[in-house]
This record gives sequence, C-alpha cells and structure tokens, in this order.
Amino acid sequence: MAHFEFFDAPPEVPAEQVRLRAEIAAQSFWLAGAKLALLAVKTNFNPAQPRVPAGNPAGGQWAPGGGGRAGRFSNHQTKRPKSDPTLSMTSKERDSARRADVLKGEGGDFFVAPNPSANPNAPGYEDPSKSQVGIYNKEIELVAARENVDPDLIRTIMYIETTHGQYFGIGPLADALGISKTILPMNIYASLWGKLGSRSYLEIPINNITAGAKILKGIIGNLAEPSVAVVATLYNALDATSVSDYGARAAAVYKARPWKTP
Amino acid sequence: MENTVNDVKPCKALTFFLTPVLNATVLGSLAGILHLYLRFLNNSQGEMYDDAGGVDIPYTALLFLTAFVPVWLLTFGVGVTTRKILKSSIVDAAPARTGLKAVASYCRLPILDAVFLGSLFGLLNVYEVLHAGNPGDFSDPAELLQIAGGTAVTFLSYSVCAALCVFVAEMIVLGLVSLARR
Repeated sequence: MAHFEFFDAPPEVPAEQVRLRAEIAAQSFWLAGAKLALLAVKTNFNPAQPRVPAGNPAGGQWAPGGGGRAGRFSNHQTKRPKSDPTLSMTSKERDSARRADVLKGEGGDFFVAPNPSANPNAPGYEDPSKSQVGIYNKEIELVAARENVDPDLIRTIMYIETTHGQYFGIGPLADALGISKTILPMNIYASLWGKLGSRSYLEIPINNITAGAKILKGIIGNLAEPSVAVVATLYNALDATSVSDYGARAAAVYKARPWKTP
Repeated sequence: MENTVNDVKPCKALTFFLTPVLNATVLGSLAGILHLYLRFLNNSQGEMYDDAGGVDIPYTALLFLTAFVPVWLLTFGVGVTTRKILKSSIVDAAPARTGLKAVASYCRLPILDAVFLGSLFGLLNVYEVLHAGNPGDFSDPAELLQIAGGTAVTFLSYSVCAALCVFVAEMIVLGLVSLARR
C-alpha cells in the first residue's frame, strides 16, 4: 500500500505537508545510497575477528564473537555502573537529573536493576491491530539512519505505545483535541520533552518519531550496558530503578518483531 | 379532576427520555472509568501525575470527559432513535404479558440498543484500523482475504464486547427504574 505519493499531491494539500513529503523523498534517496554503501563494505565486517584455525572442519570461517544485531543489546543490564548518583535522589529529582543527561546524550551513569518478576506478556488491552509501525516504516528507517538508532528498537517502542495507547479510540481523540500530555505514535510527553520541539511540532509524525529516537539514543548513551528491557523501562519512566513490566514486554516484542513491514 | 394534555406532556417526555439519559450516563461513566483505569495502568512517563507528584486532578477529569461525552451522546442518540423506531419507552417497555413474551418484550429495547451501539463501536474500530493502521496490500487476493478475516475479527470482537456491556448496563438501569416505579 503506497503511503506517500510525492508527485501526485492534490492541490489542497498544505504547503508544510508538501515540504515534509519532499524532505522524506530526498532523505529516502539518501538512505538508499547509504544502504548501498553499507552493502559494499559488508555489514558488520570486522577484520580483527578471529578465524577457525586450519585443520578443523570449519577451518578459515569466522569464529563466534563478532558483531551483529544481537551484540547491540544484551538481555539484561547486569553490570552495575561505578556510580549512579541519581539512585540516592528522590524520584522527582532522579527524573529531572536523568532527563538532563538524556538530552545531553551522555554524562550520566544510569543503573536499572534486573527484575525477574517483570511480566513480559501482553496485557489484556494490547491490541495488535492498532499498531502503526507498518504505516510509519519509511519514517522509522529514515530517522534510525539519521540518528544512528536501531530501527527495530524504534519499532518496538512505537508498537507498544500504539497498541497500548489507543484506549478504544479515545487516545487518538484526546490527542486530536490537544488534551493528552503525551502524543502518539511515540507517545512523547510534550511538556517534559519541550527541548525536542513544541507540541504542534511533535504532532507531525516524523518529528514525533525523531524525538522518540533522540530520547532512545540519549538513554543508551547514559547506560554502561544497554539492554532493550532497561532502555524501554527508562523510556516509559526515567526515574525507574528496576526493570518494569513495560521494559520486559518491550524485550519480548523486540525479540518477536510482531509488526508487518512492506 | 382529569389530566389535561398540558399536564400529561411533560410526564410523557420525562418517561420517554428517562432511560436513554440514565443509560447514557451509566455507559458514559463506565467508558470514562475504563479510560482512566487504562491510563493509570500505563501512566506513560508519569502523565497522570502533576509536578508535585500527586494525581493530576484537572487532567484526570478532562480524560474522563473525553470518554464520557462521546459515549453519552452516542448512547443517548441511539436510545432515543430505537425508542422512536419501536414507538416505545419505559411506559410500555414491559406490557402485561407472561412467560417468554414478557421477557422478550422487556429486553427488546436493550437488545436493539446493544446491537446498534455494538455495531457502531465495531465499525468505528474497523475504520480506525483501516485508516490509521497498515492493513496491507488490497491488490493481492491472498492478502485481501487475510485483511477481510482480520477486519471481521476486529469488528466482531469490539462489537460483541460493546453490545454485551450495553445490554447488561441497560438491563440494570431498566430493572432499577421498574423497581422505582412500583
């Protein structure tokens, strides 16, 4: 299903929308070039990666321990960082301090304890049919390449936010009326993340996705050993000190990748 | 002294609108409470709390109204329409019949409301999925079949749940009103 018809925009489409579409088209072109370049240099190629010695049946092949997607996130944050000064703060202070570090992209040393009792199962109100991951696939790829964030991590957060945050149609209605504090598809808390853009700016999907990616990038930059569960837990609640159900669910979604992409 | 037309009219209007108003208020409140319950469960980035860390009461009230008002209007509109169609109200909702006929006559308005409101709710959700989601490629027959199946499941799951809620809530309201009239 084509979602962007760059050259057939009807005359009544607002100029801002046409400009955004043109920007997406240009960035898509750039993205295609970048993908081609990545293919040319072989993804995850590491010349220092050891090979299996000659004489073995698999002699000459790459030995395990190289790069790859799985290497980006561990399953749990196990190493406790040297010091997370925010742990001794009150919840509100911790939230503010960590938010400042997330916006800087570094400087913090967040610690979120593993939580084996966190529930990774889908809650009863999760409605997969409301996922908006498919419709924003192009924007996700574009933003992920631009911000250097794993596109599947963005998809995971968007999947959870859009399948949990519909409230049987009331969620989008509250967004449209300007009542919601948080704005879908990445469910950005407009006033708390004001430095990433105004409310009207964040209401434009690509800006919303960019803001979400920047937050994720900022969280990862402040973790010694980022895992999907920990990053998602902090995305949902920056003052968290242990992995939440949200984080555990995100790890399960990231693994299962239940979205449909064109 | 006999009642004049002027004496009777307000009473008729009251009885005609009584159950639609009560049904709408009960279902609107249920929708508002369910909305708030789910919001508090999610509480994404602490959105339900204010700067001081307490529950954000004005925001909570607004979210309640966001669910209450549309459901109230929809239920009231459907309730009035079904009563117009059946030319019925609480006055003749349960005429003097016995056995299954009495039950059927007692339940016909809640059933009609449940079917109408359930179908509306199902259609709204199907529209939302097709409009905001990514249904897939309509030109591929296999995928079209899959989309049709998914759409039917979405419609049925939402409409049946909504219809059951409407029916139960309306029967409770009807029962309470009938008790109050005795």
